[in-house]
Amino acid sequence: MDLIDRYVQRVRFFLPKPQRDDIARELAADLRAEVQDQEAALGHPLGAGEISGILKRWGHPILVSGRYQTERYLIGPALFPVYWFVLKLVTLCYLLPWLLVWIGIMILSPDYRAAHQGIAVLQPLGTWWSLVMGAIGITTLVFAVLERSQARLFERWDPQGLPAVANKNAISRFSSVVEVVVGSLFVLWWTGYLQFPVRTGHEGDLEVTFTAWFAAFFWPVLAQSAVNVLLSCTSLFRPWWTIPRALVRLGTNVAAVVIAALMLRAGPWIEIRHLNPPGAASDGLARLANSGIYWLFLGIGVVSFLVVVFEDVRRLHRLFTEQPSAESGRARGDGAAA
Amino acid sequence: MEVTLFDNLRLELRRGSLVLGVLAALRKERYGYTLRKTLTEHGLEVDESTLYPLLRRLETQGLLSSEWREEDRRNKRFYRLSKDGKAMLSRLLDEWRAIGLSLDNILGA
Repeated sequence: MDLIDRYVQRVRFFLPKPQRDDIARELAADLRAEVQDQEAALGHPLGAGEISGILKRWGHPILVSGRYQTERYLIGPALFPVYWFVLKLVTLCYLLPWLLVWIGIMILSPDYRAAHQGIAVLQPLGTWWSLVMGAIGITTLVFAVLERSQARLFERWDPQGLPAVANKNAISRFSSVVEVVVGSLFVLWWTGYLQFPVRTGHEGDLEVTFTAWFAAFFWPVLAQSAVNVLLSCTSLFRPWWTIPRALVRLGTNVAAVVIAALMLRAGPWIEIRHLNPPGAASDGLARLANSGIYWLFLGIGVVSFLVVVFEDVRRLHRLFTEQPSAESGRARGDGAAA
Repeated sequence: MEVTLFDNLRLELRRGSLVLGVLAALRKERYGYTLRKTLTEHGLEVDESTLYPLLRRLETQGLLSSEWREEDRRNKRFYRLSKDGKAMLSRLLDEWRAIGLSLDNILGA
C-alpha cells in the first residue's frame, strides 16, 4: 500500500487547494478498494508490480491532478493563430534581417573581422539573443493581455468595417503612381533632361563621368524604362491585371535582368577625375564606386530574378488558369481587355 | 493513421454520452470504483482520470450529491443522482433519443 500513498501524495501536490484533501482521500480509498477487489478475485495479496500496473492505468499523477483544474491558458485557441502570425512577422521582418546583416558584415568586412578576433566575433549574437527574447516576450505579454480582454475585444466589431474581398488581380493605384513618378524621373535623367550630380556633374572638386561603353546600354535601358512607365500609366486608369499586360510586365522585368547581367560583365562603369588640378584621375575612389555599383547591379539582378520575375510568372499562371467569376467581372468593369 | 482517426472520432462521440451514462448509473448510489466497474461492464469504459473529475464537476453543478460513509470497514465517497440530476437525465435522454431518430431519418433518406 506504500505505493498507493506515494502515488496519492504526488497527485495531491498539484490538486486545487480547496478540494485537495478531499480528492486525495477519495482517490486513496477507491484505489484501495480496487486492490482489495483484485486480491479477493486472485486469492492472494497484490505485489508491487501488480499495484504498479493499476497505478499506470490510472495515469501519471500530473495528468490525473490536471483533470481537476479548470482550463487555463496564456493565449487561447482564438487568439493563438494571430499570435503565431505576429511572431513569424517579427522573426522575418526584424530578427532575421538583423542576423543576416551581421553575417553579411562579418563575411564582407575585413575591418570588422580584424576588430573582432576569435570568440569576440560572436559577441553581437548575445545582443541578438536578447532581442529575440525581448521580442518574443513583449509579443507574448501583449497577447496575454489581449486574451484577458478578449470578450470586450470581440464584442466591439462592425461587419461593415471588414476589409473588401481581396482581388489578386487588382493593382494598387498607389504603386502605379509611384512607378510613374520614379520611372519618369529616371527616363528624364537618363536622356539628360534632368541633371543629377552623378550623371555628368561636379561633386566638390571631383568630376564623375560614365565610361565610354555605357552608351551601348542607352537605348535598351531607355526602351525598358519607357515601356514600364507606359504600363504603369495604363494600370493607373485600369487597375487590374490582364494577360497582355502581365506578359509585357514579365518581358520588361526579364529585360531588366538581362541588362543588369550584361552591365555586370561590362564594368568599370564610371571614372572619377579631380578638377583641381584638372585631369588627375582618382583611381582609388573610382574603384570603390565601381565596386559599389557592381554589388548594386548584382543585387538588382538577383532580386529581380528571384522575386519580381517569379511573381510575374505566378501572376500569369493565375490569369491563365483562373475561372472568370461574377465578382472579378464586376471589380474590373466588364469588357475591359488591355 | 486510420485507427488513430477512428479512435479520436470515437472519443469525441463518446464524450457527450459519458455524462449520460454516469447520470444513468448513479440512479443507484455508488462510489467511484464500483461506478467505473458498472460502466465498463455495460460497455462504457472510462479512465479514472476522466471519471473522478467528472463526478466532481457534476456535483458542483448540482446534478449529483455525495457523502462519505463506511463500507467494509473503509470510508468511501458515495455518489447519487440529485433531484436536479434526475430532471436533467430525463431531458438529456429525450435529447439523446431525438438525435438517434434524426440520424435514422438522415440515414434512411
